[in-house]
Amino acid sequence: MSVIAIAIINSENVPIYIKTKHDFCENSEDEEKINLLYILHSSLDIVEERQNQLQNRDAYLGLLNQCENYKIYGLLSTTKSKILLMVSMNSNTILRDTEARTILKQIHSTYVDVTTNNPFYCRGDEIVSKKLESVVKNAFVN
Amino acid sequence: MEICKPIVTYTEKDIAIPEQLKANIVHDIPQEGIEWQRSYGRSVKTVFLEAQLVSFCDDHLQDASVFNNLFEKPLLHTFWLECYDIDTYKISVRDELISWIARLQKHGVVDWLVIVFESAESRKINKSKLLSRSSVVDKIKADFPQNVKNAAERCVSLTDPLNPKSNEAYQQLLQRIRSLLSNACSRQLSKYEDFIRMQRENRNSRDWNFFRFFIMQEQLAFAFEMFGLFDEALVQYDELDALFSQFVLNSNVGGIPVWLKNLSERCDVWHGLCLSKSVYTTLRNKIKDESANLLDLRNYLFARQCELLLLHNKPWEVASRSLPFLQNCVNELNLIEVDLTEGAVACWVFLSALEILQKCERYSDSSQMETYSRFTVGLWAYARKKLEELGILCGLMPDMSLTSDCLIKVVTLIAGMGQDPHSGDESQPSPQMRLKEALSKPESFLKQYLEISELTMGTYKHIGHLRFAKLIGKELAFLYMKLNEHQKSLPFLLDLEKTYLIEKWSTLLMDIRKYILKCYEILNDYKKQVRYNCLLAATSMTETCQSEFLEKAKKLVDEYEPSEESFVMNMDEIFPIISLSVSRKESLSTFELVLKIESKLCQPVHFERLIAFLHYEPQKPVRKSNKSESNCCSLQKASKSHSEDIPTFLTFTSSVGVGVQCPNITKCLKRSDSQGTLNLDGDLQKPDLSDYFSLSNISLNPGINEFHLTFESPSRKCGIYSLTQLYLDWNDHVSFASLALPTHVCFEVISEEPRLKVMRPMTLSEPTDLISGLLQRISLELGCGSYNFVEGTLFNIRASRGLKIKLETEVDCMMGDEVSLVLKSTLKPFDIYTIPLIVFASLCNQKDASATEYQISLNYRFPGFENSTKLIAAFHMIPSFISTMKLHTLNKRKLVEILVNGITNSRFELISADLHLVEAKDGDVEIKSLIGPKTFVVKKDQTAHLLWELISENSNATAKSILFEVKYKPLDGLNPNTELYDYTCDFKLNDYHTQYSIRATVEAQKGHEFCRVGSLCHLYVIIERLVSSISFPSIMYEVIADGSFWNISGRTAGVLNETSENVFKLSFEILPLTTGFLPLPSIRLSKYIACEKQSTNANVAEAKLVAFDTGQVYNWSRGLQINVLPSSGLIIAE
Repeated sequence: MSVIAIAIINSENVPIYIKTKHDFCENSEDEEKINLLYILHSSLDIVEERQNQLQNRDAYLGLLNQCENYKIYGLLSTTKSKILLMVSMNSNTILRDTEARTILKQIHSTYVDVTTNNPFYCRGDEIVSKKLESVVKNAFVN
Repeated sequence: MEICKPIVTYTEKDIAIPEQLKANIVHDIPQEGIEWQRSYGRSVKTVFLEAQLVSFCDDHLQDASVFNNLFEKPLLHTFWLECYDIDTYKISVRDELISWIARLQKHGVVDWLVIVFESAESRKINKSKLLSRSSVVDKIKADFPQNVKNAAERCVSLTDPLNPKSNEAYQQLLQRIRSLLSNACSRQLSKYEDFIRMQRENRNSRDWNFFRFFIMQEQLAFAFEMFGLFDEALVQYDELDALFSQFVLNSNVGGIPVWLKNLSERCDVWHGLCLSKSVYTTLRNKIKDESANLLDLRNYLFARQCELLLLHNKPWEVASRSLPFLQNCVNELNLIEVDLTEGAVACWVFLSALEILQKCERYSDSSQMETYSRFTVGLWAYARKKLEELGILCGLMPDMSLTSDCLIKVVTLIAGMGQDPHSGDESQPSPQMRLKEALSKPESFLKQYLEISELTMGTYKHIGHLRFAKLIGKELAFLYMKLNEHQKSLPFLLDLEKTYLIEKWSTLLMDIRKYILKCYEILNDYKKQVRYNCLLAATSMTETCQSEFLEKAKKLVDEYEPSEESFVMNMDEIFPIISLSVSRKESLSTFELVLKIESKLCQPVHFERLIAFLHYEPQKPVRKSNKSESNCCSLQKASKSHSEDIPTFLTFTSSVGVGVQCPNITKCLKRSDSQGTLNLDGDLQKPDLSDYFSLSNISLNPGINEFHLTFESPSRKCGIYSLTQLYLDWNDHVSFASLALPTHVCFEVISEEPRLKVMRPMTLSEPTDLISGLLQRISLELGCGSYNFVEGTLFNIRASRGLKIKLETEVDCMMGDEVSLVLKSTLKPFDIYTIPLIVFASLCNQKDASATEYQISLNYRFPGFENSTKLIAAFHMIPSFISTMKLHTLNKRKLVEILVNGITNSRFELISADLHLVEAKDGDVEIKSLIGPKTFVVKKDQTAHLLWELISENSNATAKSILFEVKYKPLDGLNPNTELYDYTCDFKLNDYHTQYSIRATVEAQKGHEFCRVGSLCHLYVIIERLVSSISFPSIMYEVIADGSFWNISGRTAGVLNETSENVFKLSFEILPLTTGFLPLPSIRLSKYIACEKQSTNANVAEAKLVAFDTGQVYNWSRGLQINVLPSSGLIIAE
């Protein structure tokens, strides 16, 4: 389990879907999860910086931020929705760049499906979707 | 740099090469570059070769199967000889030279050069010979073995090389050496690369050693660096870096090689990275000795990479590579489970980061500060984090105490750092000095920590990474909290709160608020404590947390001292308003607000009052009366933007294009203030508004609550009321207020006065117009307006003049001017009360069919009020019929004709019509009826003609006025009773006595029987005066003929002066112009008033004509015609 957290953040930087590894394991500490959120939130700075730099860009932004313990990969859709993928550096299996890209693209396409196919979804609402849930869970487990 | 330069050997024959020359050659070879053709199709590069000159010995030709050193073997062999003539050459040199070449060839050496020394003198000698076809050089070239390639280039002659004049030959020599050397190098390098590749392939074999391989491959790097190919050299190090990383990663899976084990076991010091050459040379020696530890290896590797990057002029890349390097290294330490003292890694990272930063600063350019900062900020942040780690470890953080245990740790850590490599440099504190200083005591640690934190935060802000900056701010806030300076931490925390609130990161918001609450608790800010407790109670994750915070808030509110001023909190996050709607209640002036509020608290909370304040804006109800008839209030719901004036849009067209212009663009496009969405409850104040919905003693349960609030609009306070704010009063001092309402709700209150209106009952049978002279049914409608008419109110209805009224309900009552009525039931506002009335307007002297206005007034007085109010309704009635009079004359007889014209479709029967004289002496004038006692029926388009004759005994007696009287009764409609109504009408008469009579005849010329066209005729006029006394002296006559019938010759007008004669005879010649019965020319008489001659006034100097009154002139010949025949042929012949 090298994925630590996945977050979908909309164009107004409002988080509409956040899952951390703590959500999948019991008796985890909230504090750890909150610390992850702090880091994810601050990574938006780099997404914004990239957003301003590149013109003809790929949605996949690549590595945004790296620390001793984690790496954060990002994806910025054309509608400025952001998907952040936080990966552990301490685990035995290290996620490759291409794998990160695959996961992000997959989550993005699911996110698009889930939000656009649901007529009751309001922009900015938290996403509740079994489909997305399963895709994300898959990313965490593998 | 530890590398031997490529070796060039020299063999001396009969000569000693001057030391100066050797030095020159070594010095001059790298002065010029040479194109280096590389194997495997790699791009051509210019390289600068260096070389060392070594005297040839046999060892140089030993075949080395294993490379110890890249340029261990000589790359080029030179043979120096001095020979001036061929004979000497043949005798002494030739054999030796050939055997030298043979030896080289035997060992596979292809790079050699023969240098022939020629002194200037010897050349002269040679030149003096006549047949010096072949010099020594030529001879030598000829003597080279057949298989030698480029034989011509392998022999160079050199004349006096130390003399600048012979520079050309010397340069040629250098060029030749460079060319041969580069070929040799290339060959050697590719051989070495193959060798390295082979070595690398063996990396999994048991006895393979990374250190050895490292030193081997590094040779390549050195070589490239020597050649000036820094990027190539860097590639070698990058390859080594990657290889090493791979080993470390693989160590996780497979077994750890021995060398790697050694590497990790030796980690007992944590010297920081040092980018100074002297230091990393010793590191290299350690690697060479295989005594380096992992950090030594990494430090050395990165130091070399940095050096090459800086040589390659890429200081930014140094900065950008640093962070991954440090992080990667820390990871590697973890991966191979190096057992380091706690804090050692942090020390190493801190020292290394600062070393890199200091190095980069030297290369930073102020114009590129931002790009530079982008790379360095990560390092600063990392260093800061590690310093914090160390601070916690060593008990240097403010809330910790420095124990002896900590001191031991500090000592151990400092010992592990080794000697300060920058100890001699005093220009700036070295990284190690800074760290040692920081670890020495808590005060200096705090100083360092704050310094680095501020710097990091500033750099983040500078490059626009505000979120990162704020995150550092959070840690600073925690630090200040630990320092017990909560006042200082608040700004950082509030800043974060704002960010998370705007971006709706609720979890983080909640977390930060917990800390804010802590600060306020310490600072004892009562209001904020209540507020943050409430906020947390509303947003916390678990119910236990929620109730805990809520209890705290409740307790605080209960403890509140009333002496302090009251305060208001923003309710939007705790009690969000779901919906608002206003409706009118039964009572017209009462409004009901249906309010849905969600309580996010976990327990019911009791509030003293819920108030919804209304903003009142007086506005005159500019509405059309018919619109507001049934509505007392209009409820308007509009979007938020419709707060004050709805922007009006104008469309305009022009020749250029069509567009939409917004006249108040600043209002429409006003930037929505981000501050507006924030909870600045400091600005919240209870508004001083007198109008509000309110509800007392309510309980807000968790979830959605619905409340019904009422508002009674004060009487006569008309205008627009808009909902501005909602207040929840917890108690007298603590309340919540909404900052923004989800929808803009407003309503308009209008007030209307009672109105009175006359309505005609609509029936098919009756005409819609009200008719005077008949009983008419009307209904009086009283619109109550905004008033209540209580039971028992007395209505007094009064009719205007000429109008009689009675209530329809009171059948037996007589018609009168006034009726009274008591209200039997209560009337509510905007009810309409109808009073059925029967009205009768007597027909008056009306000569035309125009309608007459009547009024009905209604007086009422409310119980308890002194003044009564009068309402007036006006309406129009048209007469049933009208009568007109005509006076007819027959010479002296006078006839009066009265015409009665019906106006409406109703039929009326006229009975016993009569005409009376008014103001006339009896007997003078008598009226004789010519109709008899007949009845007439009139209606629209059916007129009754009634005729009377005025008979005057005396010519002076005149009737001035006559009165027409008739009784009538309606034949149709709802007037079944045959009651007769009287109708009178008086007419004025002027002096109607006939004064003159006119007789006119047209006669043909004498001798002619008939009048004919074109033949002259005579018009005879006889004017006769019929009365004796005449008030005017002269009369004027005029003959007026139609120009198409008659042509009158001579005068057609004249004045008949005062004369005693009563008869005037006039004759005119007239010519008929057409045949047929022609009307006679008419004769007009007028009174003639001659001008007064004495009068000087020019205006009255003219004579005046005054027309006779009706009946004063009687024309016998009026309507007379004469038959005119066509002219006879005889006359035409004449």
